[in-house]
Amino acid sequence: MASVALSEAEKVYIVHGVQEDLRVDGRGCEDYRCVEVETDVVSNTSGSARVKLGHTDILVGVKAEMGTPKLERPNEGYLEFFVDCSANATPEFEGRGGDDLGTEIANTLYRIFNNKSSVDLSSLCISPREHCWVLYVDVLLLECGGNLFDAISIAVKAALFNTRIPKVRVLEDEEGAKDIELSDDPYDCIRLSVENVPCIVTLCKIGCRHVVDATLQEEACSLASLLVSVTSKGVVTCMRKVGKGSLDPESIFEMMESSKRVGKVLHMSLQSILHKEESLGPKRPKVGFLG
Amino acid sequence: MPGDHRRIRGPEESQPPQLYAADEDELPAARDPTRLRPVYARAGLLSQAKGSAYLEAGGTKVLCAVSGPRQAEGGERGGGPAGAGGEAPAALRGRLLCDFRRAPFSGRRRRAPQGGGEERELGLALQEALEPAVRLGRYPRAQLEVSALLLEDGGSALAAALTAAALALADAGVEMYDLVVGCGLSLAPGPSPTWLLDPTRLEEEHSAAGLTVALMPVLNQVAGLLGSGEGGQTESWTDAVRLGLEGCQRLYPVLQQCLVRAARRRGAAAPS
Repeated sequence: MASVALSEAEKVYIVHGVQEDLRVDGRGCEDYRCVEVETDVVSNTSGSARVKLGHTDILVGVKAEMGTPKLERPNEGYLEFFVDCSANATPEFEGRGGDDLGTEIANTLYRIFNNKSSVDLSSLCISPREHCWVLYVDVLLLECGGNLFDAISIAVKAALFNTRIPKVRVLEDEEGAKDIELSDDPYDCIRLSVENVPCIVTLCKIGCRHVVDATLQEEACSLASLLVSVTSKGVVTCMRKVGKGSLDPESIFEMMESSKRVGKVLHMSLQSILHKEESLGPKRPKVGFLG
Repeated sequence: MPGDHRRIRGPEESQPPQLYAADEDELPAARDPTRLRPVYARAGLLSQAKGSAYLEAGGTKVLCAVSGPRQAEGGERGGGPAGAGGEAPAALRGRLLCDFRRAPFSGRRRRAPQGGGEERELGLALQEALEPAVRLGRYPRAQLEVSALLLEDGGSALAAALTAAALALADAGVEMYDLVVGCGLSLAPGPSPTWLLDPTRLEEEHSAAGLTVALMPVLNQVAGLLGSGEGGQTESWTDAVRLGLEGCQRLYPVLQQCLVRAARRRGAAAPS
């Protein structure tokens, strides 16, 4: 993660402020920064999204390709995640420096999607045991301003919402040879339901209280954080302690309660904004990277 | 590695025949959800490692070795600001490198050791759970290497590896605030899902969610937490964490005895 140099006085200032539920930029402990989400920014993908959360900038592209189903699950497609920490984000990521963080984030994404209810994988099956859709979700970290996991999970959810997978038909000849036919209409596609796709809420322990959506400076003051992946219905799909400190059992229980509250609000606002963007239609003005 | 097609005439990828067999109807037997399997632990068994530990819990067998402290690689890092607890500056703190490996014959299918993926994730989980317990400020510019080898996976492998790694660190004489005890849990699906403590491999395969908790028993601080799956609402996970912490406390006396025995053995073997 990008590191920022903080003096002792600044750390004390942040910690004391958090005790009073007042953070450096005036937010409360459970408030997010202003989030900007835009979908359909990259034209070569099946779905894409860009999320800007304060100084954190994430770009996610989803490409749907045909592949063979896994042996243990012959009737389902699957998702493959790849996270690339670009050297633009911070000079520490130059060369292979960002690989460790990238694999950590990718492994966390695999973990949060590793259950039956997040994405309906059986809708990705074309013919059992032979063909299925594989969704390659590629995450690009453009700028690192704290709270990476939350921003990435919001971007992945928005990109999956935006994904359009073309409809295919499997035609069988008399000899039994199978042929795959793509539909002629480019707008004839299947959409994924992202009702149950979880979002990650990271709670950083600062002093005796915990904060949601920590900036880089606040992350430098926190020794331990709890990462909870929660769906819109409040179902938790993943829980992980991050950082080199330890957590009190009571604060873990408090953090889990917070994450449920915060997660519900986050999901509601994300759903409403995604539906609103979609209702603007294909003629909406695209902001992209220039706004 | 590409197969040698001239000499070995066979498919590039092979699978065990069990995958194609009819589904086994072996369901895990009902049992007391709070039972812990009997644990056998022994520290100080490898001659080449600074500290080592072997832990057996049911069918899970883990061997862990610690080496160091030796000079940290990674070159110079300028003196950074002091840590939040007033400890040694970040650049002077020691480093803990953890490596988790599964033996290729540890599971039902043979798995060639892969570079990334699950083993990297579990190695990182080990590091995050052990760091709160080790006094890294006392090993400036040094690194400690912990490597855990899973010989047989009989359920709750990460928890066993955590406990074995903490025992090995203690056996190596590394300064620690407290031991770290790990405990695994899994959620048995069904009409009334219950969390089972210390699951066997069969129970883990049939589970809807899994959780590993690491606790420092004397300080009563949670050092590590890793869980995933369809665990339901936060209340269900809270119950699971409580059950796991209780299991860790119950396991602690066994580990204390193991360390005492190892110290006695070392004292008896040393030339007086």
